[in-house]
Order: sequence, then structure tokens, then C-alpha cells
Amino acid sequence: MALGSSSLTFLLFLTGAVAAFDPEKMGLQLVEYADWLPGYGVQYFVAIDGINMFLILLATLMVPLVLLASWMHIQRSLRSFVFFLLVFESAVLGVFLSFNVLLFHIFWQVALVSMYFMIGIWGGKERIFRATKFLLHTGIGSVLMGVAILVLFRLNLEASGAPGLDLIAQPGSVAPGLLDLVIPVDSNALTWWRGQTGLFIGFALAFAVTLPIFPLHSWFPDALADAPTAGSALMAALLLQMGAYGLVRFALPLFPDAAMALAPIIQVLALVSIAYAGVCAFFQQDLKRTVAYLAMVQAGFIVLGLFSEQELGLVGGVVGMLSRGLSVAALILLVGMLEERRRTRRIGEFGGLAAPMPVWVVFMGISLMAAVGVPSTSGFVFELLALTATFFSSAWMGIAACLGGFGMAACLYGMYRKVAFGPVTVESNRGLMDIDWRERTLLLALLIPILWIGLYPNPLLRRIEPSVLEVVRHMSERQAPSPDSQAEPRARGTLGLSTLGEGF
Amino acid sequence: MGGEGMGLENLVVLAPLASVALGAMSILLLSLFFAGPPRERSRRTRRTGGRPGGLQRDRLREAGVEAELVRMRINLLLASVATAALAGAGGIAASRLLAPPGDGFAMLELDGLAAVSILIVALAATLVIWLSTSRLTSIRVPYGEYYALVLLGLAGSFVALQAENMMVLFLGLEVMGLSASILAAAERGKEHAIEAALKGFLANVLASGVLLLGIAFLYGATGHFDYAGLQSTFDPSQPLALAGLALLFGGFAMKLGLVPFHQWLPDFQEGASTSIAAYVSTCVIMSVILAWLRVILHALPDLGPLLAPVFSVLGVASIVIANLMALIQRNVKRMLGWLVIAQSGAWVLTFVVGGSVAYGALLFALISYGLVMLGAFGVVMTLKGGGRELERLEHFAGIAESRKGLAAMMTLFMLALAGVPGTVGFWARWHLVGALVAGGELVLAVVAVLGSVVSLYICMQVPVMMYMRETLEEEPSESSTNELGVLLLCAVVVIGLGIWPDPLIAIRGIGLLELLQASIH
Repeated sequence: MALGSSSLTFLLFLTGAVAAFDPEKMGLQLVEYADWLPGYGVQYFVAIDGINMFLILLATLMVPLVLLASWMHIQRSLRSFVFFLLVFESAVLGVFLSFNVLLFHIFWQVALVSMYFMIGIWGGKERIFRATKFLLHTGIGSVLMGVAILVLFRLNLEASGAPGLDLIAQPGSVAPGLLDLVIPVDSNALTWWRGQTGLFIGFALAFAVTLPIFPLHSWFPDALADAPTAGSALMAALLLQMGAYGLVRFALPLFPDAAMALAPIIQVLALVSIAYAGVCAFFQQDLKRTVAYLAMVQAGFIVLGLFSEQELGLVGGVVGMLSRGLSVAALILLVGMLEERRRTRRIGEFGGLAAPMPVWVVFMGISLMAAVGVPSTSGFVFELLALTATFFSSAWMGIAACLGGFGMAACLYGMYRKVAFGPVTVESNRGLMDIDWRERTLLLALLIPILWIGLYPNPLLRRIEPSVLEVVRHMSERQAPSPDSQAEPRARGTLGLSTLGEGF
Repeated sequence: MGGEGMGLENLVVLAPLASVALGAMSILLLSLFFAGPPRERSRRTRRTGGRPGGLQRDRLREAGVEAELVRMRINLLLASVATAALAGAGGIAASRLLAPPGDGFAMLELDGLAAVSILIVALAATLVIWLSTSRLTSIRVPYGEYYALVLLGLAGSFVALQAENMMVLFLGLEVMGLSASILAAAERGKEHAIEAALKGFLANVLASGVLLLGIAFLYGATGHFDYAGLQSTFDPSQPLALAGLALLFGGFAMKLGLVPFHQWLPDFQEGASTSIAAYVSTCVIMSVILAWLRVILHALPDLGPLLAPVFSVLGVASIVIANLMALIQRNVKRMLGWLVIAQSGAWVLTFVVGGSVAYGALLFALISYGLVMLGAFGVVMTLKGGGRELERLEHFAGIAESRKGLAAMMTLFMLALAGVPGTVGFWARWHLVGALVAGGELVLAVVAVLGSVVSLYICMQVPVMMYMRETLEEEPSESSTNELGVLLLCAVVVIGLGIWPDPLIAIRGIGLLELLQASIH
């Protein structure tokens, strides 16, 4: 039933929206706009552009997949599980689709709470503690975002006299869109929180927690490891992308000055999280925790791309969300399959799996390659774009990031070799069944897009680029002219896809 | 004082009070004829009559069942009378909202604020009454007295909510507090209940004393008991007036259970039977804060900067300490008691900002709070195992498997209490924090939202128990239709207003309009 309806959603979206989407057009398409609570400035305002379209595809794809994957896993009250799963799906779709800040916030919180229940009810041994940790971390971030939204509401009300929280004013609404609102940089000690910096911090904290970025990550490996396979696949594929998406959609275009001022700090934090997570990934004994740190490394790359303030970097970040969602979800499903067979995830328990489970090993290899960015996978496209942009904005950061990436790749290679090749060390592994057709199908559904993006990213990039250009345009339009404008500021957004040559 | 210009239309002012008072009287009279206390006679008869076999036993059992049925009908009859009285009061208040404000007495007034306040409290009281109907038999409180006391307490509350004079305010609060103490003590068999009643009584009397002293000081400083006179002559540079103000507000803070005057409230909640705890934490607490709001608006000039630090400290301390204390509670009623304090702390923060936005947020938050708190207490009340209420967190373990609906509703109320979207609690918090932001109080806003995250953690302990832990062997019993009906109503309204809060905004809007016309700020 649930599988049917969620697959139907996916197919409907795939055929309907993708066909209707016009890649050449800038701006929003398929806008749906309805009054919900005009007094609060909450409108039901959803639309699609190049940035969220693929994330929505990912979301609608993931849910039937995890349903298929966890068919037998969930022994306890399957019905409630599917209920929370579908609530989560709708909330995530809402997050990706909303062009109203408060609507976004509402969906955001619903997504967190439904994920909390999924971890807490169906998770592993320490589920309650870890679900709570998850909820506290993300909850604090999200309520601070709520305060920032209230401040935005005030600012817009004071400026225009009408309540409105739409990003872009729609015909018929009185209040201007937030993207047309002038928000001063304000450095007054008393009213700093009404300026860009305060608001940006309010938003960015929520996003950084979900990304996750060092030092706000401590909930993540725990929560991911203890969530049921379906829950952690959804968390890695969708929940984590919510943070990156929020940055692109809201934080960067709304507060460009603050974002630019804070960019160096954030980039350093991203580098630290790449290095830190890489080291942690190396020392993990639990396969799922390794995957968690891997996702965190990728979060670092995404953030580097987004804050390079180049169009290229933004495109890279958007591709990165997609690539990370696909590859980490595939890894988690693979680990879940192994866990289902052996009831353990300890790396030491495995070795030489290539003999009993060749298909698993091949799939694992491809997913890992995508996760570390080996050419011909989606990870490569994204890291290439993000790193090029980073190099352009600061060479030493680019070098550091590359080194981090190489280091991590080396570590993972070590892990993979231990698990997959060599002699079979543990006797009980010898008789393991390889993955069956059901499992192969759902993995292929993730791996085919990975390879496709890796080999032929053009259709994807062509659809993403106009929307990213739009974001860049908003950023540069809203940026306050700097007092010493003769000194050329960092050339923002000049590095486009076209600079990479005709090949793209 | 109130003699001049007294016409029939002015009597409308007295109508809510008269309605509940008449209701109480008629309930007492009716119970004289019909009810008597729900004695254990039938049970005893059944026990002693168990010996003779056959026909006689059947007849006796039949008689017992019949007596039970009759009692149930009387119970429902009395509850209906009480509801009618409350509906009358609420209806008059509502009609007053739609009509333009007229002159009142000098002592009582039925303006927009009073009407909205009465509506809110009367609504909560109706829900309390229907929640507790089926509980009265098991806790052996006489029906008639119970309903009459609730109504009399509400009469006091309405007086306080309509007051235009300090002495009247005091009388109203006193009547309300006393009736609550008596209600708590009515459950004679339980030691905890007596202790709770005594504690509540002493705290209340102390608060009243302080309040009265404050009123006396104010009178000494200004020569006025009436709000209007106080407002025009209050001079904050007079030490006596300031001392009076401090005592007056101290009294209110004690009655509300704000930190540092809070200790009686959790004890009371834990000890008193659940229906009384629900009554006190909704009707009584809400009346106190609304009466306080009335005093601030009508009896005092705009003292903004003078009082802002006081309210900030009270509010922040209440939010922080109450949330921290609630963290370590294992008794759900006690935990809810602490959460009541945390919520009152958030309400008091609106006094810091003042103005229509903040007070509108307060009214909204109160409506939401009443629904949610009653729902939560209702679920606790409904979960009875082996004749006693399940109060401790551990008792909730695994409830989700045996009582799916109740568990889902409790989860909903807990989410709403913490302000999660999709419930009315979200909008309540949204308004409160929005008012603080609009008033420029960022620090208070951040404290309030962080407090709500801690509350979320606290509230989530209950669903965690219900859904994530294994079941206890003790099977909870069936709950009555009345309880389930009220709970379902609360749940539907909580979700409904969570998705579509416009009706509440409308009510708030009408109240505010008059509030703004009436007040000077």
C-alpha cells in the first residue's frame, strides 16, 4: 500500500514535473500559491526550480526504495513505521519545495520530529539516548532559526506595512518578497541581531547542525548508527541535504554580505570537518559509523563549494547534495544488507567478502568510489566543481581540501580492502548469501544515477545552472556596495560552468 | 458606590457571575434531593448479600446495578446543569464581545478583556467538568459538592476577571483559591491529597495576605481602591506606592507559582487528585494571570521601564528553573506542574514588552495552553490501572501497544506543549516569541525558545516511554466515553487550530480591539 503510493508519487513526479520543467528558463516553475495564514505571512507557496528539482526526485525515489529495503527488517508495528516514514517524506518534500520561509520552517520541524520517532522507536540498543541527542541538537538549531524568521517578519512588516514571508513576491500579495527586502549589515551592538550577521547566524546554525559541520556534528554518527537501516538511509539521503539546501535557498541569497564576511571562518570549519571526519572514519570499528563520517567529509566539500561564492561552487554544492544523497544512501543500504546477514557491523568481523558475496563487493566498490569522488562517478563531478571554485577563491584552502580528500580516499581504500579482499578470516562469513534480486534492484536504482551523473552530467548541469545563476544574481544585487569599491572585491560568481570549456 | 446610573443593561455585567452562582445553588439543591454522597452502600450490599444464593443474589445484584445506573444519571444531570451555567456565562460574555461596550458598575466591568477572559476560563472549566465526571465515583468525592465548588470557584474567578476595584479583585481571588483548596481536600481518604490541600491552602493564604497588604499600601499611597482612581493617582516616585506595587505583584506571582514562589505548585499537582490538579493548573492559573493582566492594564499607569526588569527576572527564572526541575521528575503530574510554571514564566515575559501584540499573544497562548494541559491531564486521568491512576513515567511504558489512541493523543498534547508545528502550541509559541522579538527583547526570545527545546525533551519522555519501552504487565482499564470524548475534542481542536489558527486570531482580535479602546497604553 505505502510502497504503491510512494512509488506512484515518484513516477508521477518523474513523468510530470521533469517533462514540464523547462531547462532554459530562469526562475520558478510550476508555482503553486495559495493563502494559508496571510496574517502570519505564511502562504502555501511551493515551486520547482533547477536547485530543488533533483532533490525532490531523490526524495521521491528514496522512500519506495527504503520501503522495499526494510520490508522484513521492521518487526515492530510496521504500520506506524510507514506512517512516520510517509510523514517524513511529505515534510522533506515540503522543505525542498517551500518558497515561504515560515512554511519551510514548519516542514523542517515536522521532518525532525518524525525522524526522531523513527530513530527512537525502531532504532538500535541505545536508541532513546541517541534519538534525544539528535532532537536536542537539531531542535536548538531550528528554534533559533525560528527566532531569525520572526525578526525577518518584523523587518518586512516595518518596511512594507504588510505581513509576508515569501521569498519572492507573488502577484496579488501585498508584502514584498524577502529577496527584495533590504537588510542592513548593521554592526550596532544593540541591534546587531536585526542585521544580516545575526540573521545569517540564526539560519546557518540550524543548517550547520543538519549538514553536519564540525563542531556541531556529534549527534550525527550516533543517530545514524542507531537508526534502523531505513531511517538512516533517509537521514543520510534527505535530512542531511536539508541543511545544504537551506543554505543555497535561504541563507546565501538573503544575507550575502554576512555570508561573505563569515565565509573564511566557515570554510576553515569545513576544512576542519573534512580532516576530522576523515581521521574518525579511519578509526571506526563500525561500518555504519564509517559511512557517517564519510557523509560528514562530503558535507565539508559541499560547504566549501557553496561558500566559494562562485557560480561553479554553487553548482558543485547542488550536485554534491544529490551525489552525497545517492552514494551515502547506497552505502547504508549495503551495510544494512550485511548487517541483516551477520547481525553485526564490526569491520573486524569481515574480511574477504569478495568470495562469498561478489555482487555486494562490486556495488560497495562503486558506492565508495562515488563517495570519495573517483572519476566517472557523481562524486567526481561534484568535487571537481567545488574544488575548482575553492581554488579560485583561495588557493591554500583548495590545496588543503584536496589533501583531505586524498587522505580520506586512502583510508577508505584500506577499509574496503580489509572487508572485501584477502582470505576469508571469519568462518561464518564463508557461507554468506550474496544479495538477491530485490536488493540488487534497489541498489541499481541508486547506482545508475551515480554513474550517469558521473559520465554524462550535462543534462543535470544544464538544468541546475539557470537557477544557480538566479541565486548568484540575488546575492550580488543584494550586496551592499562596499565603501572602497575601487578595490576590486573578490570576483564573485565570475567562474561559471562555461569557464570549464565547451565540454560542460 | 455603584448605585448611580444603574439600569437593566448594567445588570448584564453581573450575569456571568449570577449564572455560575445560580448553577452552583441549583446543583446543591438537586443533590439534596437526588444524590447524596456516592456511598459504598451498593458495594457493601453486594458483599454481604453475596451469601444467600439464587434468586435473592440476582435481585441484589440487579439492585446494585440499578443504583449504579441511577447514580450515573444523576452525575450526568449535575454535570449538565454545571455546563449549562458555564454556557450561560460564556454566552453572555460572547454576546458582550459582539455588542459595543456599555457602562458597567464601578466595581465590575464586562469589557472586551473581561469577556475574552471569562470565555477562556469557562471553556476550560467545561472541559474539566466533563473530564472528571466518571472519576468522581472512584475518588469518592460527592458529586453535588464537587460541581458546586467548581462553579463557586469560577464565580470567584469571574469576579476577579471583571474587577474594577482592588477589594473586589481580592474577594474574587480568595473565593477561587479557597474552593480549590477544599476541592483538593475533598478526597478524604488519601494522605497526599490532604497534604496537597494544606500546602495549596497555606500558599494561597500567604499570597492573599501579601496581596492584601499591597492593596492596603496602595490605598495608603493613593487613597483609591478603584482601578481608575489608582491609575490616575499612582506615583512611582512614592516609596509607599512602590512597596504596595511590589507586594501586590508578589502576591500575584505567588498565586501563579512563579519562581521563586513556586514550590507549592508541583507538590499540589502531585498530591491532589488528577481532576483537581487539572482544574487548578488550567482554570485557576489562567484566571490569576488574566486578573494580573487586567490590573496592569486598568489599575496602573504605563510603568514599562520600571517593571521590565522585574518581569524579565521572574519570567526567565521561571522558565529556566522550572524546565531544569521538570527534567528530573519521574512523576508525570509533578512534571506537568513544573511545566505549568515554565509556561507561566513565558506568559509573564509578555508583560515586559507590553502592548497589543504581546497581550494578544498572551491570550492566544492561554487558549492553547488550556486545551493542551487539559488534554495531558485528561490522559493521565484516563489511564487507570487496578483502581489507581498511573502517574509515574514508568507506568506509561508500552502503553502505546494496549491503548493506541490514548498514546497517540498524549503524544500530540506533549508535542503541542513543546510547540511543535502542526499543533496549536506552535502558533502560541510563535506569537509569544514574535511579541518578544517585536519588542526588541532578543535575549528573552532566545531564552523562551531554548526553554521550549528543553520542554520538548521533557515532554518527549512520555511518548518515549509509551512507544519505545516494553510494556508493564499491568493492564490499564477501560476509560469512559466522557473522558474519551473530551480528549478527542481537545486533540481535534489542537490539530485543527494548529493548521488553521484563524478563528483564534479572530477572538483575540475582538478582545484586543476593546482592550485597546479601554486601556490607556
